[in-house]
Amino acid sequence: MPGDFEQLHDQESVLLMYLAGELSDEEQARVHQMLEADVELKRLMERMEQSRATAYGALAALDAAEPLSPAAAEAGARLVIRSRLDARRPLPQPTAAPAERLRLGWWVYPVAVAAMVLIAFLAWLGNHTPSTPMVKLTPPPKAVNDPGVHTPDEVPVAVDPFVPIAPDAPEASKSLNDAAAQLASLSGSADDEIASPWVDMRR
Amino acid sequence: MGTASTGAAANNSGSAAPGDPATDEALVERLRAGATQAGEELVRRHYQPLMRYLQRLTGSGHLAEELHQQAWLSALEHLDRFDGGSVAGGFKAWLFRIATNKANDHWRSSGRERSAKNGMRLIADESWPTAEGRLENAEQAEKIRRAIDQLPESQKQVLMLRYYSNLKFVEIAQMLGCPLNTALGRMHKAMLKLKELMEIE
Repeated sequence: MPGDFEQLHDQESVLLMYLAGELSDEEQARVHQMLEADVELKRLMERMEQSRATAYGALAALDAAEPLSPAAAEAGARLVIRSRLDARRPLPQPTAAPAERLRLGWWVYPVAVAAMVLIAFLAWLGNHTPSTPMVKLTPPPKAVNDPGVHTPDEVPVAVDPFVPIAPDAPEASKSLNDAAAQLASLSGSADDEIASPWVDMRR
Repeated sequence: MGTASTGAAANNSGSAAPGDPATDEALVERLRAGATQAGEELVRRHYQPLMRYLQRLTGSGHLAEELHQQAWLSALEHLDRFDGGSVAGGFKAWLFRIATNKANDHWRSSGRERSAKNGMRLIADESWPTAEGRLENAEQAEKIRRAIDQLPESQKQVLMLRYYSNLKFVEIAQMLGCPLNTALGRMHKAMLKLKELMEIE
């Protein structure tokens, strides 16, 4: 590799790179020439070569004494890949248990509809019920307006219920009440409510 | 003069094998698209060098298996962040960096001595072809393991990365975040130390 040679500080480093064949062709040739010219350098290289052979030989002997099982390699490969796949696979999402869902009988639905109809009817009925108590209104006594029904000493008065009574006519109002009471006694229906509409009207 | 790399990863290269046009980066793209077979192919392709690397770092087959799975899970988790164009050494360097970080995290979280002790025990319990061969190989393996175990962690990382991942020194230096000279110096010291320890043993 160009440039590596210049970085090497000592002979051992140069020779190691040379032995490893990691120098460029030009540098390899240059070291080769140096080795041819320098006997001491050549002896150093031979010692290094011997050391390397001893070290590599020891490692090779140790490897031979401890054979690796091919089956272990296969098992290791499968284990590693399976672990990788398991790590990438998303975890299954928990599903809702069917037992937790609310199950109703078939009869619940028609009963619920009937209950809703009943509630609607009651609500409608409630809206149509008068809030004030019902008052039995009787038609105004015909006798008052009837010119044929009166006592001789009383003057028949045409009464319009929507015409306000003048405050300066107390006598007329009094006579009207008297006439109503008399009419009730004459008709024989002693209904207490007969006079009430008149009283309300005046108010 | 030998100039070719002699690492174990030379036979278990992270790149596409002859006859198989799919590179690591192509498999990554297919995996991103959802093809799990591409992921399985990636795991199978890097299983042996990565497992060996973690075995040597941790000294335990079981712990290496655990860290291997953790490294792959982390790699797959952050697969979207991987940019083949910006990482020197491509997917393999990225994967080994993750595995290295996992191993470092393990050392930080639990005492190294305890793990190494457990690793020794677990490896010693693994099956061997015959009783005689087991004894002989076990002694030899134990000797090598002890020697590796005495290497400083930084030196061991560079040695194992170089041997098992077959990454270039420039890529290893970038992965470990150190200058090229530092990575080469650690490699040189690791080789000398291991040779010395093997001769003493």
